[in-house]
Amino acid sequence: MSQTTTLVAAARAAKQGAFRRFLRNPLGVAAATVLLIIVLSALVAPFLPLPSPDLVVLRDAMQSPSAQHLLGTDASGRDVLSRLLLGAQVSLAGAALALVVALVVGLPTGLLAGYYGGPFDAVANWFNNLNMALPGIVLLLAVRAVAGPSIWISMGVFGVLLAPGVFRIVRASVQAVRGELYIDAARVSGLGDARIIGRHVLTVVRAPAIIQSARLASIAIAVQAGLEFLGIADSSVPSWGGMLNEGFRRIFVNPSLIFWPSLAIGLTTMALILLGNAMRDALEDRDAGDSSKVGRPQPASVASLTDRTEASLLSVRDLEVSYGIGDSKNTVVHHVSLDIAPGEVLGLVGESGSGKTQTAFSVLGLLPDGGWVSRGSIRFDGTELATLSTAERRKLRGTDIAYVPQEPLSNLDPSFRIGQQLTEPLRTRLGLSKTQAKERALSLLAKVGIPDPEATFRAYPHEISGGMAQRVLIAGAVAGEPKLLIADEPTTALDVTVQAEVLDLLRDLQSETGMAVLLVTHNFGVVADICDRVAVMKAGRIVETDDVDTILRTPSDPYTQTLLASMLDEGPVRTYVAPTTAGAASSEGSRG
Amino acid sequence: MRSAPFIRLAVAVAVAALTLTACSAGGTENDEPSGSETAPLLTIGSLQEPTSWDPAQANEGHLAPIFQSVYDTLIKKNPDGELVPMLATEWTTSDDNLSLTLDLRTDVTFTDGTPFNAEAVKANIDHFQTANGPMLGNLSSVASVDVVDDDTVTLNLSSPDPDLPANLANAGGYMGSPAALASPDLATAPVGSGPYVLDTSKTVVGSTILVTRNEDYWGEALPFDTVEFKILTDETARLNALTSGQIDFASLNRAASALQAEAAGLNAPEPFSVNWGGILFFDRDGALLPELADVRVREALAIAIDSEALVQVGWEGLGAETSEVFGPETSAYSKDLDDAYAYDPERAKELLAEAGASDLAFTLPVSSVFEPVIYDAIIQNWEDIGVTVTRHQWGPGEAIPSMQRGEFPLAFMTLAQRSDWGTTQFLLSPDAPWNPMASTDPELENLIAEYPLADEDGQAQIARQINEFVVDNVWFAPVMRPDTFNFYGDSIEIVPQVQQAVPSIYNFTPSGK
Amino acid sequence: MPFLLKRLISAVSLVFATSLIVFLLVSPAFDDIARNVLGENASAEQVAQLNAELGLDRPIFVQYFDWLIAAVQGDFGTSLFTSQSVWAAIGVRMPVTVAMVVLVTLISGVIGFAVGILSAVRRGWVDKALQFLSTLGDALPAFIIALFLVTVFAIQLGWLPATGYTDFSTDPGAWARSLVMPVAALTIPAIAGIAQQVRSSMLAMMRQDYVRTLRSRGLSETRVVLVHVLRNSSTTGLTALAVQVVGILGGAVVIEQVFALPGLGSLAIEAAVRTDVPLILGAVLAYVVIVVIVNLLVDLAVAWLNPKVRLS
Repeated sequence: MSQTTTLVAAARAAKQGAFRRFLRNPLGVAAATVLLIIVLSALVAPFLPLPSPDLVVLRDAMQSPSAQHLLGTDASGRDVLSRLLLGAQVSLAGAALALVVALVVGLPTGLLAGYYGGPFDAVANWFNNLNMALPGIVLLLAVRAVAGPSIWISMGVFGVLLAPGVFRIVRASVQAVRGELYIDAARVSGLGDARIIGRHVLTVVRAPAIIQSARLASIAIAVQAGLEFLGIADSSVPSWGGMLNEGFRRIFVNPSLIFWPSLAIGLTTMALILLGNAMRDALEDRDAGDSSKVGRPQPASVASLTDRTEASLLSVRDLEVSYGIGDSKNTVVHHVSLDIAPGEVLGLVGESGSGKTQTAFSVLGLLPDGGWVSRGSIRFDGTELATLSTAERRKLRGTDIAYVPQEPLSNLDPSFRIGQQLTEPLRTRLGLSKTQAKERALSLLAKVGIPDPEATFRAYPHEISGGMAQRVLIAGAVAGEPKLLIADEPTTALDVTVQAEVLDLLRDLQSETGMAVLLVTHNFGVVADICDRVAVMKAGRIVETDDVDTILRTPSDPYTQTLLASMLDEGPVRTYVAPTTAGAASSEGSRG
Repeated sequence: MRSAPFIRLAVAVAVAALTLTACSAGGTENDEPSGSETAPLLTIGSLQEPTSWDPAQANEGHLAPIFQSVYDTLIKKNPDGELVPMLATEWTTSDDNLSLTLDLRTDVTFTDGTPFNAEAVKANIDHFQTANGPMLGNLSSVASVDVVDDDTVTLNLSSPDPDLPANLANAGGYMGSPAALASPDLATAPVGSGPYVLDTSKTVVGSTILVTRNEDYWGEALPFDTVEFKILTDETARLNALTSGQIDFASLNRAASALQAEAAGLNAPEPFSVNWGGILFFDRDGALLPELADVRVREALAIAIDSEALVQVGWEGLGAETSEVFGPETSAYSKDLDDAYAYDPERAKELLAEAGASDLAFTLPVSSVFEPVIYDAIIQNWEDIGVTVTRHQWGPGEAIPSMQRGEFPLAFMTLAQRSDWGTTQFLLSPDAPWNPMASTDPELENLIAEYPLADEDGQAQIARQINEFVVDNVWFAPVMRPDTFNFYGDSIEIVPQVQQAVPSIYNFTPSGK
Repeated sequence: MPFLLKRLISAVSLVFATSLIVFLLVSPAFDDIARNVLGENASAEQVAQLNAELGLDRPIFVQYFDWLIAAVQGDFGTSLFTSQSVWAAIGVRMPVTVAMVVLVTLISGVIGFAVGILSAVRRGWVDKALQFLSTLGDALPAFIIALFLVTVFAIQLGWLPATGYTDFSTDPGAWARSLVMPVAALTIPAIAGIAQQVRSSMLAMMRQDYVRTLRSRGLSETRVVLVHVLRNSSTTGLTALAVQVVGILGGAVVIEQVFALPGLGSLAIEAAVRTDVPLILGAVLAYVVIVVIVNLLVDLAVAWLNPKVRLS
């Protein structure tokens, strides 16, 4: 899925299942409950029949819990419970103030900085860095020396110090979205900036901002408690940190005094953090549970196994691929059966979402998180893959079954040089020495048509073009001389001319090494060019399998016919074109 | 006093008392410390460190033993308060009380070779009076210094000063080498004639001060070869160092710390106190708070406080109640006056009603230096008699400047208990630092004027009258005399010094254990 | 190197902006300085005289510029309360704080990364448990953890000293013991923060296309994770570490109070409390410089780790 869809989907999902997902998270619910209790207690405190929190009765100091004083008394004989509850009011209100100020300062500046960029962004960033570099507590001390002990002033100032937390997240979210197509569309259609920001950008920013707020509130509570603990806040008002301060002064005489305020502070901060995490999981549809749960695969149906021959290199029978288990099980590939003979090129054709890539991945054994083969048999070179262990499965990759992906540049590790990425499997899987591996890699690069193998060897992925990158990936795939090459739309992301070259390369390699190819594609032009046989998929099932000529000229399945018809009608955007420039791969005339 | 009554916002840590100056009632035991063996090292945990080694910047109280280790004073004060010769062998006040003549030792040389003589004394006093140090007031009565001959010097006074000899045993009396006084390194490199010399290589500001024996000391050698002052401003750190044996001696501020030290088996002398704590009614003329001008209101506020509970609970019982600002070792003190403000909330309400101040309301400034329980208790006591009290929280470092600017009508404070004249000068006279609103009364002024002119017995009597005046007119509402906590390990013995928070350097001896 | 130059200029301007802000913030308390230096026994005239001597009666900006001009030449003045040079004061206290911060950074970096990686790779109950512990550590403020540690290990069990600091040169064993609890209190939240960041970054990285391609080459999962994914997550991890360091520096201030450590934090507080202006400015600047250096180092490291930036 592209980023646009992800973001919009996330924003929409925020409204729909989020709340329900949240409710299913036990930690989140517990945290929310605890917070609710704390807030309610704080609100209700003045109305409860408790002793006054300020009533000093020296002779009753340091008593254990009793009927009169449910949590005992402190060093001045005051009731601990009522001080705790009133302290809750102060702590929560102070944190709320800091949070509001942080949002008021951070949200608009983050939005504007992320959206407009340029000098505003630079200035805002500079202030942000300044803010982050200032030592918070010392600054608050200085402020306090000037502005007095009021916790409201301190928390207000602290809110400003917290603003970077909001600023950064908001700015990052906005920047991520700013270049997106739908924002451009909005601008083009004449929507004013304010409307765009308010309606579209804000939607994306909402979730991270809310999640961050919980965390910031927790920090505010901790810092407020710290200030009170240091004794620089207003001592006439009961506060958790103040209670800690008094308790700590007497810690050797009676260590129990610090227990209740510690518990209060710890519980509140923890609940806030857990709440934030739960909200994040719910809003971003991240399954807090184990998304990688898989079930036990069923074997292929006996009926489907009847026509299996020993001749095929790859034999897939009754393949079913699912995501999730139990009630949330979602099957994307149903009863798929196909064969590939050694040296044969099978095209797997279908529209987006037809399940062709899932099928390819299941042969590789590299289904995405949550996907599993719920049924069927995959027999490769005589071995049943579905029952192999992970380690054994892995041993086949690279050396027996190889993979060429679709997007060349995102499939190369950006942090390592090309040469390193090529030689790594050669050294670890094939046991070649460093020099041997380099030699081999260079010759592979030359083979796939890279003009300057040495330069490419030393280069980083971002320094080469898409076409070159795809060649590199192909080189990497064939390095282990695999028997089966699974190519997932290998030319879709390339320019037209480069497509032709890459296809030629694939063809040459295939004929040279005699490897079989499972070519996943939606482009009949590619099919026409290189495939021997074709299997057409629709909605997770195979609707027709035949040799390429038959499929192209006389398809029997109506869906295949529709597919062909629509493709031919759309025009020659991605059909094979005979190259006219010199140095291009040889052509065999155009087909289809 | 140490020139930095900073308030440290440490949590479990000492908050340096705003004033712990030299006062103590004390066990009057032997004059000289006992034990004659020597020991290699004495480690003292100190609350404060000198801002500068310039003798003109010296302070009293916690800094006394530090300065005493490198500088001698003209006159020495024994642990019981008796003044005995040191660099001066004799001193006499003239008949008109306006000059003090001192005979000086002739056998003393400063560690840089400069001889100690009358010129040196003059140089020191001149320097002291121009250096604007914290204890400048010690020699405020000295108008000029005459060098009579090599070993005689006369101080000419602008007004009679009964405490001058005592001041010459205090910060005003430290004698430094005249050559060093002119040096720019004076702040870090002291040159004195004292029993020890500063080892600058092992001295680290904020951490340690190391002094080693002065082999050429003119006087009786002190028992320890070296003394290390570990600067431990943090109360808990100091307590820990004491209990773990890292230091031999330390003074503590908090009652809770004292209990812990006791429990850890540390030694302490007989309970003594150098401070009094209570309410100072700055605004006796009612400028800020009109009701306060009425002595009945002040009395009401004084007797509304349950001092006993405060001492027992707030101070863990480690102190004594008092109603006087003078300590028991002074002449001014009177046992009869000590319960002048006995707890009587009913009577307090009556007094308020009589004065027409039943709806009295005011703001009480609160300092984070003192245990919150003290304020909580006092405010609660006052609210019980119908007074409305609003708190104003002072910021760190704000308290003393604020009080001395007369910003509040009253405040809680602990102050040193000094000599009769000292207390009068610091607390009672119209220009006293602790009388910021310059309250005065003709009766009191007369007494103050008479005091320096009277003889010893006369002075004692006048002092008592002054005290009676203060108590009758409820200038203060003293609550307690908190014990001064001196704790030490088993390897040493100490003798507490009267009216001083820590013993003088001369009062430490090895115990032989 | 425009990149480095830009960052340096930004850093320097940051430092001086901080000094101005702090100076202005503290300036209203200048009135009390002279009195606090002299103590309560001094007369009002003395106080006024000292006030003038210290130049505290001049306009604020004049005082600031005087300080600035001297500071640029490396002269940060002397403390008003100990006549010790500010350089010396900071020099003595810095090692304590730096030792603590370095220890915390190293330990939390190593453990945080390890926990994050483990959590990302081993989904299931290991992940859940580690996440919960992370949340716990992250949520509790460092000083609460410190109080808990002191109560248990110092007071109840007596294994470790409750407060105090011994110089390394005096007694390495005692030095180590005096740092155990402070470092622990600061490390626990830091580990949690780093682990969470590393975990989420690695999880995101593992969904990247190239990871599948690497797996398709038959590389072992260990290799894929520890060589490739980790390398790509390292910038996020390092950035998280930098953020933690700033947080640790802040937390160290309160921790130094709880454990009575003579570090930069307690120096800053002492100075702030007494309005010891040269020392406040010196201590705050020392802090800011540390933060700026850490951020600069991390920026450099991140830039180096990212080939796109390194080669540009």
